Amino acid sequence: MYNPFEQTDATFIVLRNEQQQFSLWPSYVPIPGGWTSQFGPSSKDACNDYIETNWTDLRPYVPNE
Amino acid sequence: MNQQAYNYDFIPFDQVVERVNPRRTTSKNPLFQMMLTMQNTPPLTFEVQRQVATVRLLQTNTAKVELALEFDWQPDQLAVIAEYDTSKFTFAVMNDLLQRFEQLLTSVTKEAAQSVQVLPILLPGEKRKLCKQSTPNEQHFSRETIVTRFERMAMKHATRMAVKDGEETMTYRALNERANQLAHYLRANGVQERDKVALIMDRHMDMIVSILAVLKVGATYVPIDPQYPDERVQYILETAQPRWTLVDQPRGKEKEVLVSNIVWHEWPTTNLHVALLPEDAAYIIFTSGSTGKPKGVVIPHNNVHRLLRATDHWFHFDETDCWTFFHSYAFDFSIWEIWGALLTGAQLLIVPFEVSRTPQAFHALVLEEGVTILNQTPSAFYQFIEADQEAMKQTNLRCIIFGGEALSFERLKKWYAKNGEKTELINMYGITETTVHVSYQRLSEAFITEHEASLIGEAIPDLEIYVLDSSLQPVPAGVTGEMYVAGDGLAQGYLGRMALTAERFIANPFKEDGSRMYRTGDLAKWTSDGNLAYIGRIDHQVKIRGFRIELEEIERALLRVDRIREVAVITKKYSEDDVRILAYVIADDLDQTMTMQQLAKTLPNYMMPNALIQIDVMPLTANGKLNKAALPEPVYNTTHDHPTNPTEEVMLQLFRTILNNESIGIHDSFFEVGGHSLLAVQLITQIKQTFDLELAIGHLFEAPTVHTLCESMKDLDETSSLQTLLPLRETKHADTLFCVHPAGGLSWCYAGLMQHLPQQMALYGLQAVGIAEQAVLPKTLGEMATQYVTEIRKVQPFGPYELLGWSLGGNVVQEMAVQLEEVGEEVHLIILDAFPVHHKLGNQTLEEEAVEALLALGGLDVSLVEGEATLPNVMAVLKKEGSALASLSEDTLQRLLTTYMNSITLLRTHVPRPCSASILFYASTIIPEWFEKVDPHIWQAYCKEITIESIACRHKDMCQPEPIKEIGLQVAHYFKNKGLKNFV
Repeated sequence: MYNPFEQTDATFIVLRNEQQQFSLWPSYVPIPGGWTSQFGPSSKDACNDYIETNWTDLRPYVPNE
Repeated sequence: MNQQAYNYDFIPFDQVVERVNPRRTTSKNPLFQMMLTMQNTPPLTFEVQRQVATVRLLQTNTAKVELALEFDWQPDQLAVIAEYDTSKFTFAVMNDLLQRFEQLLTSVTKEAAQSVQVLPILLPGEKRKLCKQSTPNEQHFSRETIVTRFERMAMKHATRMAVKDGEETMTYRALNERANQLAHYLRANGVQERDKVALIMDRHMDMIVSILAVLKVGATYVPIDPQYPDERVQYILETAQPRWTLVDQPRGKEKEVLVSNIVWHEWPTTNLHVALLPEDAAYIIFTSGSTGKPKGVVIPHNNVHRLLRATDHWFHFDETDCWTFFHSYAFDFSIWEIWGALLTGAQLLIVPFEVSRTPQAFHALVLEEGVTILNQTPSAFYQFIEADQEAMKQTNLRCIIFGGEALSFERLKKWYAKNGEKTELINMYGITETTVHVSYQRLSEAFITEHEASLIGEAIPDLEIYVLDSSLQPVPAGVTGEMYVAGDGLAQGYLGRMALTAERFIANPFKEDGSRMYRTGDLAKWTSDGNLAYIGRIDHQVKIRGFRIELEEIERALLRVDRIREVAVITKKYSEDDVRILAYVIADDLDQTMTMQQLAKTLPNYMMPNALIQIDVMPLTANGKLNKAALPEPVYNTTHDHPTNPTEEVMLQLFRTILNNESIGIHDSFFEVGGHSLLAVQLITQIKQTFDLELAIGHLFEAPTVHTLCESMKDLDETSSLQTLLPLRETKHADTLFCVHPAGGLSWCYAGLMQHLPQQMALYGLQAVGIAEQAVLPKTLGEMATQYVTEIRKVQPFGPYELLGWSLGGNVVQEMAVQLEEVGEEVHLIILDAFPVHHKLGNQTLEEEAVEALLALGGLDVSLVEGEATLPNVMAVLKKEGSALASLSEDTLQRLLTTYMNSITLLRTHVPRPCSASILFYASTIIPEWFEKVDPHIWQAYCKEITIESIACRHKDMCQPEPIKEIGLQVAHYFKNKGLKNFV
């Protein structure tokens, strides 16, 4: 049993939701509703770099704040 | 790999088995458990003289493997017969399986280009059921902050006791006011909303005050356990960058605020007004994963609030409850303890550290203070159970909640036996990243008796649990998958670790609203009745030699053994191929042998612990979980297993030869030190030749060690290894080496040659007559030689003969050479340290010499005898040193001594005659002072030629393992050079 997110040599994409939260995602799995692709398909390292650069605040974005 | 396998489809099955050499158990087919066959051969017909016969398949009602699927290629359809082991599968599961298979095949025939991973194995409706299984009604609870809720409690229950610490108590009002004062202080000193404030304190009143104060000022508290190693503390501080660090005593960190220094009356006691939102972070708890740096889990206020709301219908906590604050505030179980109490108006009892580590003291405290709600990790609770067993009174507990580790249902039996169902026991699964608890399972005595696994029940109403495979697809009941948790309890993420957050808090594919789910790294499976069984960590899956090890099963087996009270079983990897199972037990009077025997009745071979270590107490971590790293390293007693009787001695040599391994002892299992079925057949053949005993291979499976095998051959009496002609290795039509006994009379010592001589050589020992039973002893050495010549010619009618003799045996073989040459035969001699004249070894009597020779047979020195060298004293030494001779009867030993004395007498009176044999001579080079060194060349007069080799040992040690190995190898070399007829 392995986990797809632990595979360092697979390809991934970076998703983002309306709360401005990011998620790593295996490139071969359909994108769930409510998320859009921001980056990739690319290597895990490249995706991680993208996330570290672009996600600055863990707090979920709440509209009308 | 599968395609390449077709290149080898001609290899017979049994050869495959031999090479794979799987562990054998009687519980399953040794090589595989599933079989798939395709019958695409023409249908069978059977013609008998113009009669028409039909072929019918008869059911044998026995399954050869766990599951065999046979496909029958019929004209218009593909039929499937499934034959399965009913102890492994139920009809319902099998029926489902066939339906799934049919569905899968249908899908493949429609579209062959699909990836295997996405083939549909779930039946219609099943996916929806699995994804909705744990949330019959999705609920979302109102949002609130911890502060507003606490302040409400402070109003409502102002005069009730909020916290107790030893003798010190505080009411809700007092606590609220004190916390406000500290909060005002913090604000005045620069703490703003969303700042972080670290705490490094012991568990006392000030801790609660401080936590509340930080929250009230709108900041996030970062609890640091003062017991953490400094490196960890530093790392947390650097990552969190707190505005201030609150301490209860100087802790040597930057920006410390010593709470006890605060001049309280200078600060207002009123509630603050801060722009605090439920989404704001309340606390950051750092967890350590199995690898890498600690991760700071950020939990917002609302997560805590809804945790209590969502579980309220199960617990109904209220102000009459009394909770223990037992766990480190850096462990999120404490979140439940602190806020479970303070947000319901209940009482929080602070448990001092020393008390928390002393089960009896803790139990007494629980009794005395009338605690009603107890939260415990299973490891801590097992100790509590013991303390409770000893106590006279019953506790006032209404609820015991387990978390943090897998729970063993078996161990709760003792609690129920004493307390019945008065207290509700509840198992909850949860992780820091999902705010303490995820699932709820109410237990009962009946429940834990019926179920063995750690069942974790149903999800908290506003959460969902999915069990998914590696493609993020739900798995059906009975299949293990990884747990993912979705819903309102998810943390925001890991502080400063965005990429890590993104790969653990991932998009939820079962929702359309952009929500996330958390990948737990825990394995679980749905049971057929809708419950959830916790299996273990995905990164803790243990396989040893290809077998999945269930540590819990070993623990259960150990607990069933008498006198064992507590157990912990771990695996430890010593090297790539060496993973061992270590069992730690707390027991009264542990009997290792008996325990292992009992375990062997229920556990398969591969799950037997490699070491059983007795300890006094189970070490716990600061969080109350089992501290595996603190378990002591086992001390292995490597005893060289000596044979304890002649049968074992010879058998051991057979084992060692066949397995080509000298370090095997009598307790090593044949199959575990390299043996397999082909070698087993060789062993059985050897046993037949040596002991004249027919063994079946099953016999060897049942008794695979030298010791057990010999035990089971009990009808074998000692005489069979005491006869004159001892076949050590009987190979027909082969070159044969005959070895004549030394003065001691037995030829067991030559067994050590077997491993080093080539397999094709036969080996026989000649032993003195009159040992097994009273007999007429030869009167001259010549007569002795004649007897032996007769024996060897029964085996080998014609020469050339290869003879070997050590000590006295050397003289005898030389005489035998003379006699054989007289009848025209050719002889070659190998002589170990024998000389044509007998040298008296010191000033001993014949009896003393005999005793010394007897001991030398066992490789023992006469100095080991206590007192006079009488027969009883000698026997005592033999027994003590574990010599094979020790099991011989006194009569036999007496006869041995008699034959010895006779042999020496013969030698003294013997006059050697010359022969034409060549001699290969081995001389021992370590010579005692009192021994007059004799030049082996003295033999020159009695033979054709002599080659002399040296062995660095003493005369009496020539047949010990190291010297005999050297001799054996050289002798093998010698035979090779000579080019014997069967030599390869």
